[in-house]
Amino acid sequence: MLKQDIKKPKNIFRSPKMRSDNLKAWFGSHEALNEISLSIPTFHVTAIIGPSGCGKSTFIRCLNRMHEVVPGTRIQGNVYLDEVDIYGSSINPVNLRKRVGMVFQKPNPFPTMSIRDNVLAGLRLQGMKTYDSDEVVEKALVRAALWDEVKDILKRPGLSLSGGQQQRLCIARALALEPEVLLMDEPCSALDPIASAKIEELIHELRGKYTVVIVTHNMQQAARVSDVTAFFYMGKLVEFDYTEKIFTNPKYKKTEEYVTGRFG
Amino acid sequence: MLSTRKIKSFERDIEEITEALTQMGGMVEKSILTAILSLNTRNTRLAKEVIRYDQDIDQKEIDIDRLCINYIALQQPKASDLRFVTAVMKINNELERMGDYAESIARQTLFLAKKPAWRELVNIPRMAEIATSMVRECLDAFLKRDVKLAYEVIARDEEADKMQSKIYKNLLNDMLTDKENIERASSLLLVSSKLERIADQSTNICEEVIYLVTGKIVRHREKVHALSSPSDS
Repeated sequence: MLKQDIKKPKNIFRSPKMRSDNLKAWFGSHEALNEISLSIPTFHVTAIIGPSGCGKSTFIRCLNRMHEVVPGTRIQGNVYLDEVDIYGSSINPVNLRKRVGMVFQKPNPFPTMSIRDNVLAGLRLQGMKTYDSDEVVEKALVRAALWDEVKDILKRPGLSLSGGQQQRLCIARALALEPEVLLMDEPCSALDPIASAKIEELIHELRGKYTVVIVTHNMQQAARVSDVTAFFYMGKLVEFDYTEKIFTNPKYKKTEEYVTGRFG
Repeated sequence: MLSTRKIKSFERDIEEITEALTQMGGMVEKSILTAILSLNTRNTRLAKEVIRYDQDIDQKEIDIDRLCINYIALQQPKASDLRFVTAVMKINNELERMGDYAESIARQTLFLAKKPAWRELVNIPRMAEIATSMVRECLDAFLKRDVKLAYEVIARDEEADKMQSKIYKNLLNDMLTDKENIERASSLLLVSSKLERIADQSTNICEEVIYLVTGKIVRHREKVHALSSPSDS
């Protein structure tokens, strides 16, 4: 009886939400990513860590085709969302970005818009009619753990909020589009520890409902929020495993050197 | 560059913790050897010294704990550094217990010294030799991160167990032969069981060394093997 109670860890890599296959990316002649094959587990949080310039931001920008919007860039290889190649000719990048949302390093609410309009901005840009916009706004703000703080001031400008609140507003804006995957590029690097903690709590809440990929320089944060961690170094994927494995007993020396701070 | 080396503050902390634990190991080893010497020579002065010295060992344990806690709080160690500090905290604890066992042996010296000299301690010094060499070697294995040596020490635990059971039989026989022997034989039985525990603690330290170096947890394996029936596999 007792033995049955012991839960075996599930293999969460078996049916990934997204998957890259030998992905290469360039900025002009500079190769930023070199044959990255990585499976992003569904409804889990994947952290991507590595030193500056290792290609981690480039990688997540390839996951919603944001890399190609920069002139002079190109990619090779494949990226799949639910096993459909997102670089296929039938895929509309704008629709893709609705399914694979993104939150950036610096909170970037639209300056002239109210809190409410900021939440709806993504939907409007997508040309979607929002019949029940109040409900959409509330739902997105609740999910972004901001509703209680702003429910009475929805008409105030987005920029009147604190940095941490602005970042959660940006997350609400992304969530209003009901994405399946949420990419976060160092979402806490411009925030103080209290605001960062709130975002981390929020990421914890999002797990199980969304597939989250977070790029972070803060290893402690990666250790706290993620289920799996990928370590990138000089455009290559060095190691990808369960977060606890990466931070207690990584397989490769380079990962060990990075997570223990023996770089440089 | 990955290879650029300079001493960083966390590396200084690791050195400091290692040095403190090495000192602790030396103190405990000295305490065990002195306790056994006091027993062999019926020297109560030495026995009292061991009892007093245990306070220093206790203090050292607290100091090492404090160093480790500060290191965790300030450096937030990961991977091998994390395994290092968790291993040190456990080893520190094992060593402190060994110090307690040495003190306990010294107390038996005080008790036995009041009684008339009796049988020779035949196997007890031999057992003490095994136990102290295991202590020395497990600390060596820690300092050199020597997994092979750690496994060798673990294997020697069987020798200590066998010796303990031999001593037990002899002393039981003494007790059965003459009830006058009961008090003194019980006291020696206690000594041998403490020595056996010291050997056990040494194997625990070796298990921590194996974890530190390889990340593999090898504790409680025998128990697991002994309990699992073929149908479980």
